[in-house]
Amino acid sequence: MIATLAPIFPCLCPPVTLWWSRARSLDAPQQAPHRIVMRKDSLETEDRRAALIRAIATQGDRSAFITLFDFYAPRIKAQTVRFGLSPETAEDIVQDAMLAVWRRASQFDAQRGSASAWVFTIATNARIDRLRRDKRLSSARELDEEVLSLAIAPEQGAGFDAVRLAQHIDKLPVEQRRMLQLSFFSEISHGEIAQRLGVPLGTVKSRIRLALTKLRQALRDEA
Amino acid sequence: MITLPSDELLLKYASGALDPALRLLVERHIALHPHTMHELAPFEQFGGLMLAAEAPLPLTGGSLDRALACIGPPTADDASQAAAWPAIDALQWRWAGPGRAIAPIVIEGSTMKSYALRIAPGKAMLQHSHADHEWTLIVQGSYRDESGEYHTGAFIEEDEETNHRPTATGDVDCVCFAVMSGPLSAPGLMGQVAHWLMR
Repeated sequence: MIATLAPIFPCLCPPVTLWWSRARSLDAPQQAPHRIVMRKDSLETEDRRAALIRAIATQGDRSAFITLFDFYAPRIKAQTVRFGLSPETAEDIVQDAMLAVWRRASQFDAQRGSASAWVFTIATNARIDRLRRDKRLSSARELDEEVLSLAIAPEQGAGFDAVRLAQHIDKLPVEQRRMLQLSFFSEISHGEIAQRLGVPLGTVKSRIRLALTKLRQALRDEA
Repeated sequence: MITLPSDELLLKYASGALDPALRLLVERHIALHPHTMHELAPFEQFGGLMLAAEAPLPLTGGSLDRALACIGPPTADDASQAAAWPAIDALQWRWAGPGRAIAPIVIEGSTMKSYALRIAPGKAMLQHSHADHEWTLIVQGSYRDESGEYHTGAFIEEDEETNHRPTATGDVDCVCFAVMSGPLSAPGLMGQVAHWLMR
């Protein structure tokens, strides 16, 4: 709802617009006048983060690292918790990930994707590495109901903007979004998703496929 | 042809929500067929968008200081020690019929069944179907079945509807790594033997 109102009241969704700018081709006003028109600074923000990563790579710039840490560390923690790990483990993973951001900064290639996508893959690898090293942790554990409720009914969870983003991308129907998020955030199979949501397996398969196709179309240009 | 992992698999690969064995299979596929990186990129972008959109969760005190205490001059690379599939020759191959061998593979942390198959040129694998899902990667050689010829690097997903009999083509043994989420069913005695071998 907020997203729909955003073109009228841009102040309603300040942070979301920041990095959507890269999807500018999707938000071309002439094709979709009802969609959010990107603010000018949005591109600069994702670009700014890319510049900070390069500053680490070329000059070992510690203040650039601090700025990136302030932005990414609390978000990596939040996302890691959403993936089903405890806040304590998430803090460890944040440390691993941010150190890797420092050490691998020279491998960042803005041609291949956004700064956030790069940090995301680094955080993902940090999470997997820690799961490999610490056998007591399990990525396959049942999703916490609270996390799941956020993940499948995000409009009730403050600050979870991914669904608004999905709406921006292609106005994915609620069911598709739920399934996509379940698919993204947990190891559970299509069969388990079907069981959980009480719909036939074939429906889950076709809806996820549809959502992914839309997602791919929407993001292809960015990659 | 060289077939690629499905979008669903690539999404889960990007988000890290894949079973360790499947993750390794996709990793190996990408090593053999780097072009798949292009297919993967949109999903990594999506992950980046999700990350940047997260509501920040405050860190405990001193977190930044701890990180700052650890960073030194940037180093070339310190890529993590990833687990890996064993080398083809290091596998414990067992006879599974003329021109056929099978080797079980244990992937730590995986809840799925993993194994390698080796088929001599011109030989066929057992006719079989799948009770659930099976993902196969051709790591050497090529094979042909009812749906066409698959080459090194091909990533093949099969489900309960598939019932096929791949035949190795080319001059070298066809070696496949496979990950299975349900039992494989093959009719007849040889099927039962294969089943037993795969336990």
